[in-house]
Amino acid sequence: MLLTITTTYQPATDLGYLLHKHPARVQRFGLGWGDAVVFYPEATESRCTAALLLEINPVALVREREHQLSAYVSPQAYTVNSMMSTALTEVFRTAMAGRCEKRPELVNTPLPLEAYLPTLPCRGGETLLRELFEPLGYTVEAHEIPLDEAFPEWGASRLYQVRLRHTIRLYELLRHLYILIPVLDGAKHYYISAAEVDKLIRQGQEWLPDHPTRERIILRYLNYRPTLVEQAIASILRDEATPEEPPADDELPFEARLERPLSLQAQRIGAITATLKSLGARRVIDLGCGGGALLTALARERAFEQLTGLDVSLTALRIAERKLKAELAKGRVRLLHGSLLYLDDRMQGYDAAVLMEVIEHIEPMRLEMLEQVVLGHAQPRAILLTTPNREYNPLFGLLPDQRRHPDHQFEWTRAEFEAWAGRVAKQYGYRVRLSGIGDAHPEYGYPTQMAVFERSA
Amino acid sequence: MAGQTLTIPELSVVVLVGASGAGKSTFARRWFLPTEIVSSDFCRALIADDENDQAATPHAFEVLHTIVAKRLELGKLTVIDATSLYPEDRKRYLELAREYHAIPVAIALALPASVCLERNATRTDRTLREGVIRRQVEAARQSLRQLEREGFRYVYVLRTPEEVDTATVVRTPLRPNMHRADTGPFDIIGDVHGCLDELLELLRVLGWQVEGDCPTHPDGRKAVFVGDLIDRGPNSVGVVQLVRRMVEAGVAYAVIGNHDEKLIRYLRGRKVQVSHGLERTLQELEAHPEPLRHELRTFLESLPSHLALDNGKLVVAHAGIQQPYIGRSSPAIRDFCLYGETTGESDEFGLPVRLNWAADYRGSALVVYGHTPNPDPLWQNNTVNIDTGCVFGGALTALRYPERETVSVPAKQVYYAPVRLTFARPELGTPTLRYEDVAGKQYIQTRLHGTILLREDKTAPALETLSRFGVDPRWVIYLPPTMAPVEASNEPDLLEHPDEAFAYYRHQGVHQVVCEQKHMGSRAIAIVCRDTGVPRKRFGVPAETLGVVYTRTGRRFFNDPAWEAALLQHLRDAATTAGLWDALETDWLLLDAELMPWSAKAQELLRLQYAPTAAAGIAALHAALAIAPAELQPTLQARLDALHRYRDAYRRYCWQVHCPDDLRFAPFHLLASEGAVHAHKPHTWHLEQLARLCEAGHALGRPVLQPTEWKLVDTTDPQSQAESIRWFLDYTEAGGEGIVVKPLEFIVRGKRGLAQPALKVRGREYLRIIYGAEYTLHLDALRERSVGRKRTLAVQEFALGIEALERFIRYEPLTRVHQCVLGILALEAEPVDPRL
Repeated sequence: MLLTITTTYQPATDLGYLLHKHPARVQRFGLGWGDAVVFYPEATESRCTAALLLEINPVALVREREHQLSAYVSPQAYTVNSMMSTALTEVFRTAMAGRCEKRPELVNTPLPLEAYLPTLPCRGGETLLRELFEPLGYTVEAHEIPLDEAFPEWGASRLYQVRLRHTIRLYELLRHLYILIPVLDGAKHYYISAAEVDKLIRQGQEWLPDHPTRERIILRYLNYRPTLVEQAIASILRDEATPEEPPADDELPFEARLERPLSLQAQRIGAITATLKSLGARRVIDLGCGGGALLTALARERAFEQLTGLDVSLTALRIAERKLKAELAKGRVRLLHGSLLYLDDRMQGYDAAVLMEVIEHIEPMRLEMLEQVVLGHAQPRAILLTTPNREYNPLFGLLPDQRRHPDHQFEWTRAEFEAWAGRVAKQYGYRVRLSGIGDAHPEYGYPTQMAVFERSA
Repeated sequence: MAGQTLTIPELSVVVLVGASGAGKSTFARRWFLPTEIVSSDFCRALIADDENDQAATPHAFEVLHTIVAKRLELGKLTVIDATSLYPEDRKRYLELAREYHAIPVAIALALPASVCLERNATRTDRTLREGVIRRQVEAARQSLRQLEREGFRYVYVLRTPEEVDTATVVRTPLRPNMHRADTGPFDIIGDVHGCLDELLELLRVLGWQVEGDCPTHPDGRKAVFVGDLIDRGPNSVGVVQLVRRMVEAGVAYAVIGNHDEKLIRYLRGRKVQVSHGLERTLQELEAHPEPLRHELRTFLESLPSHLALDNGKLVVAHAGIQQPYIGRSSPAIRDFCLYGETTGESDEFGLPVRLNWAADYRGSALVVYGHTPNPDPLWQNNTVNIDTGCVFGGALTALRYPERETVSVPAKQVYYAPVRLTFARPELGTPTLRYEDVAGKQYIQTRLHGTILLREDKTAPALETLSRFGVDPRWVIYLPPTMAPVEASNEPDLLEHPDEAFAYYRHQGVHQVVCEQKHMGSRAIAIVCRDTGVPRKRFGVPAETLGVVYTRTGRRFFNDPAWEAALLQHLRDAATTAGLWDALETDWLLLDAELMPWSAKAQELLRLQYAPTAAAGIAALHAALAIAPAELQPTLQARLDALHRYRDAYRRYCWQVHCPDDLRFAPFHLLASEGAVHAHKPHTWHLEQLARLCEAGHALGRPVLQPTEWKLVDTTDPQSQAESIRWFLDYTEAGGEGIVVKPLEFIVRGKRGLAQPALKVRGREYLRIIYGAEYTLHLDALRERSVGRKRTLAVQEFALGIEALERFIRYEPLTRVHQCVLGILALEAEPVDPRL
């Protein structure tokens, strides 16, 4: 919402020439979502401050079709965020380009500058703030704003009052701010498209290649969009070999972070594919197919004639649809919206059904329904089912009552899984064998447990 | 000469058999509706533009078979106008008849070749070669002998043009539908098994005059017997004679039971196993002369497999019936009605293992049956078993219809030792919700608001919500509807004002409205049970709890089960203290309430959205004010004030919660209890009942239950309105969310259908949380809002919510309750301005 830039260069009022904004006037610029106002609270020979104040209309920020009540009450209108970056390029375009006809020599003169950002959101906290600005030579002064003094238990605001001081060219300061403000916020107020790569290159090519946390800056600036990140890395770091640097830990989903070193998901897919082949299954249904990771792997195998994915989440199905476009067109893969808690004739007639890491998402009381739906009604010839082995959790560094994913309703020990699998197999006329996936531990067993049910003749 | 009378049951597949030119089409047109006739010519034309295009024949027959199947599925008589000369042609129709329990009827037009040839010659649309016609005539002639053997239940043969012209087709209703139009009232009586004394006693209790030969009821009630009149008990012959007289006098109906059926077989001279009490009946019969035996047999043979009554809303069958069988007749249906669905296996007592058809029943007709004794009448889905084992020393039970009350008299003694020593009450099994019943485009019939359409793209997300986050669907018998606000006010500093609510209801012809304090927390639906057995017994939920508390989207309210248990325990105790269980004759209550503080449920939203907005806004505006030129100061100052007020507003709805006693539970509707949806009682009744509940809670020394303050307002009295407006302004200035204005009666039909069941009027400060901290600075722009769409949804969701409850208390199938609940969620997915 507010950003000021102060210089003590003499004469300080030359800042007005560099910014192309007269220190004696209050100037207003219309932007899509409100006005940008430029004024000078202080303009003397010894010290001059330019202020950029954004008057944002919160309603204009609510995206169409976004029917979220919270969108109308948003800190965005008051923080220093990507809207400020946009305003910088709109209002100080010439200054950012490093042009000034009246004082051309000043453009390339390092000036003593201070940027004041009274409400800067830092996802990643003060550490990240310092990691971003200090390598560029800034002195960073930051105070965290309390979230709500009346409710200290709500925790920190991650919102900082920040002063950045450096003797530096004005256009450099503006470009640093332009890129690093949204990087700190970890979000943008608009859709991130390929144009963002150009912006990053334009404003960052001079300093970004040498920045020690450049990969992180690129990743966060481009919101982790893989194709964009690749493009940006290729053009910004074009001369260097690009080290494979995975995203930092707190930027990955919790479960993925835990299991990453094992690449457990890949091992599960491998084990399931092999088991399905050994069972001679030709028609397979993936119950709870999610974004289609398993289906994509199975589709590569000619052994499977018909692959069906079923999921209750429309978002997941849309992702799977994108991933499996070609196979869907051929008709070999089908995607269905459905729920494992409702009897569904469309699930019938398969050689095998897979429930990969699904049951632990079901409330225990409703598991009985899933049993009836899958074993009682769908009745595939074979069922492959995987679920976490709770005993293994300490090896992930989890506390005894902690689960691998917040959405997990339960995680079973080997004994609990065995008892359940045995009971449902008996109840519905299946034979069951148990095994594990991943690197086994002598005491805790495998990280993932698997049951293979086969219908008794 | 009078011609033949061709009697055709109402649901038949009538196959016309005859050569080309035999006059099939003409005959069909004379006796059947054009839409009842499906002809091969028509199907050929339909798909090939030419009814003589023989190349299209196989395809045409596929179409024909599909049409026949669909008509039969819907219970429509269908006439097949094709030559159907060969057994293989007719086989498919017989299969379809069997599949859909229709009666296969053949009408053969076996006219001489000369007639057919002559007609063929004069045809202008097509001519066949003579040889073809002759072959067809011969085939028709040969068919005649085979038709009955092939499986046609009625075979009629017309041999001359005169016979064809003089024949009369008469349609007869099937036995189960003979009395369909009879709306009762009925007293439906369970398995009597020769217990004459108890039967007479029961009739007396039901108000029948039993003196004389044939009992009658002064109110014209009729008795309906669910079968198994005989065997095991002391006076089987007496019971049958009594029932026969009642049926003949037109004061009773009866359906056949498996014991009755077995006696018929015995009396027909068939070999049957004399066991399960038949031995006693045979003993009795020995003392009676042959004419009586014949009379008994004739009577029992006249009994239908089942009866549809009250225009199909009531069905009586001995062992039960499946939805598609109702009103139809076939050997398979008769078997089902007599024995129920069995696996063919026997249990340890040698009794057949029964499948629980009632658990799967999803029909809208109430099915009353007997056959398997239970300690109490057993309601499940929309069915009730009223066999309470009189002959085994239990009781003889009747169901009064349409009252749906059961009346029982105890057995005078144990007449027959039961094989199974204890009556096990069957579990309300795992619910059999089917995807196809709840997904895709849905039309839901509601009592209050006609048919409500749910679009496919909205039912899918609703299903996702309930599948992924919902509690057990057996609990979710209701979800609260959305509520519309008043039209925007023109008061200078308010967006919403009670005046608009009063005006709305005045316009709807409502003079008395109730203004209720609106609490700011999170909506909670609580089902409170009298004891831990009720969830299993009434809801079929296998849990030893005192109920459940869930959110407006069907999610469990509390993450910690101990908190839910503590709240339910307190609600149960308060209900006990308040005497609600007995007053309402129930062992469960459904409460619609607000649970506070808001922060208990909205913690994340507060932390990530609401509090940061205030923190950032206040910090940024302070910073700006410190440096801004004079011309910007007033606006910035006004904005800062707004931010402070905004922070004050949300803070009032937050407090730290350490234990369940820190919560506040404010109920405002007592929506339902056993056998009753309380939507026909005025809001004052709800508020008074709940005030008693809250008082009881305080008497128990706990602060959790919070009463809702309210005022009754006359919409035609300015004085009364002014008082409530003052009350509204005081309450909202002090931080209250607002008020809800409701018509005194729960359900009001206004000028155009259902009126809004409630309108909310929210206070100025509260609305900062909704419209943004600074909304008061842009009031004029915000006044242009349209509440129409929101109001349409509010009424539809209200109707669906009440419908769900009405279905639940009537023991209708879970699917039918679930459809309504999903419907509410689906409508909630419709895009509407979320600030309304």
